[in-house]
Amino acid sequence: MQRLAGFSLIAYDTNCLVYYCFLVDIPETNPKITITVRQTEQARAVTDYLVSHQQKVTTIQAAYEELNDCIYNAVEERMTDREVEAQLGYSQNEKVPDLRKLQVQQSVERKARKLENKGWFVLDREYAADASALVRLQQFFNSQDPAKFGRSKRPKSVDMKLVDFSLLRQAPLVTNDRGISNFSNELKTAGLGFAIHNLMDLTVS
Amino acid sequence: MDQQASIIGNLALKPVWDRLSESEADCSYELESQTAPSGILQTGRSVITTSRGEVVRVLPLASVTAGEQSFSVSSPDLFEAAGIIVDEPTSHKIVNVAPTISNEGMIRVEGVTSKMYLASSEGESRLISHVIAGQFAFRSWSNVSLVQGQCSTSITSLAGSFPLLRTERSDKQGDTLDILASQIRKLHDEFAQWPGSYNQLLLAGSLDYCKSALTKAMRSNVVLHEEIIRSMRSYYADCLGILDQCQDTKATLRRLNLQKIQDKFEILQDTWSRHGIYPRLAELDISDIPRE
Repeated sequence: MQRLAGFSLIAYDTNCLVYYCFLVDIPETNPKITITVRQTEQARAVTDYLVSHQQKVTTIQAAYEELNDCIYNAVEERMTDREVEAQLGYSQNEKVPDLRKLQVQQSVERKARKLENKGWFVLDREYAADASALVRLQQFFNSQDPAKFGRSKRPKSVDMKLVDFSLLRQAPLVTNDRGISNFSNELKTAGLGFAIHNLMDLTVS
Repeated sequence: MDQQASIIGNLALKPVWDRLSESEADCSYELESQTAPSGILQTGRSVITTSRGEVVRVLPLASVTAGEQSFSVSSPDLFEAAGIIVDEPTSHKIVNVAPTISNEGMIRVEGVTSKMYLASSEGESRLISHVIAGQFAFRSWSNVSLVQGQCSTSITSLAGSFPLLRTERSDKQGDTLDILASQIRKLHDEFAQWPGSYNQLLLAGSLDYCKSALTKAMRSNVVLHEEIIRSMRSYYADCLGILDQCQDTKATLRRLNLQKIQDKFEILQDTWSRHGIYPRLAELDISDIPRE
């Protein structure tokens, strides 16, 4: 976490916010059943560390507007995972009912919407993307070796805005998207990005 | 799967469309009709209201143009005569209108289908697919408001059978719940097949909740308060409206603002929970979800 030390603001992408909020208790279960995603523990550990060091988490409006899509994707992926199916008592060929998925979706969404009330979270509504910066970023990503994106898709407009926002605010960007974090050094060298870290690569001591 | 009911009779409709003013509290139009052989059609006056007291501008179910003349055939009177009040025809689509003029003064209308929402006076909502096929003869080309002819009407419900001749509400709540549960199950199955998105899960999940709540209530033989049934019917009708709106372009569902539906689902949950029949979604534990 030394990599994030000393910065008052840390930028998160939408998925990192969703992972932080993806902690859903199923009522009246004994033993208690809590549904999380693989990244929840790391997202909470990193965030708790930042909060305890009086650092703030921030994101941009465009990323926040993607919350619903990101929540749905995370819910769908997790609730069709055999581990969760078994956790909820469904056999191999049984699907988790839609109402249970919706229960989780709504719970995550409620938590995500409440982030705005947290003292440590700042939704930056002031940021306006610089069109020329976005063009340069687009050209940068277009010129990269496709293999380096790994299994990630090429960055979308909102991803490039986050990179630009991070640079503009001089706030390190935490993302779960290898399609961005794999280019951290190159972006910095090209003067297009600030520090970009993959959530799962951060070590919380 | 779907049953059909047919009416064959003589129609003489004289809709007074200009009476349908948005400033009026209720809409009305005059209906002149001869009693059909089946005894369904009545001479009289049809009043069209909505449950919210909104004024509904009744759209013709079939618009036919013959030469330079045009006229409209409106069918709500058929439903009205059968004891159904047209309620919020929020969806209306003429899928295919293919009139052919067979000779002067005669017109043949085939394959005219449309969809609209109907609700019985008890608030039972159904999506109706309405088909008109038959021959219409103008008494006079100069007086096209009077239409006389033979009309063969078949009605199918998307969500099961909807025999026009048997629309009276059953006195047994079990029957009502059976029908509602079947409608909700079919609608849920439909949305469950749609491309995944936040909104798709909202609809599929909330209908699954309704299905689950009804199943549990029916299995435990509890008598449901009318408010519960009404709220569920109303929610079902709203979801049906979205189905109809996005049926041809399912991907657009993702971008719709469904805040109104979401709020309504919250109220529905409150109603079930307040009556102690079924917990709110957030409080559902494993045992609350009946296995199929």
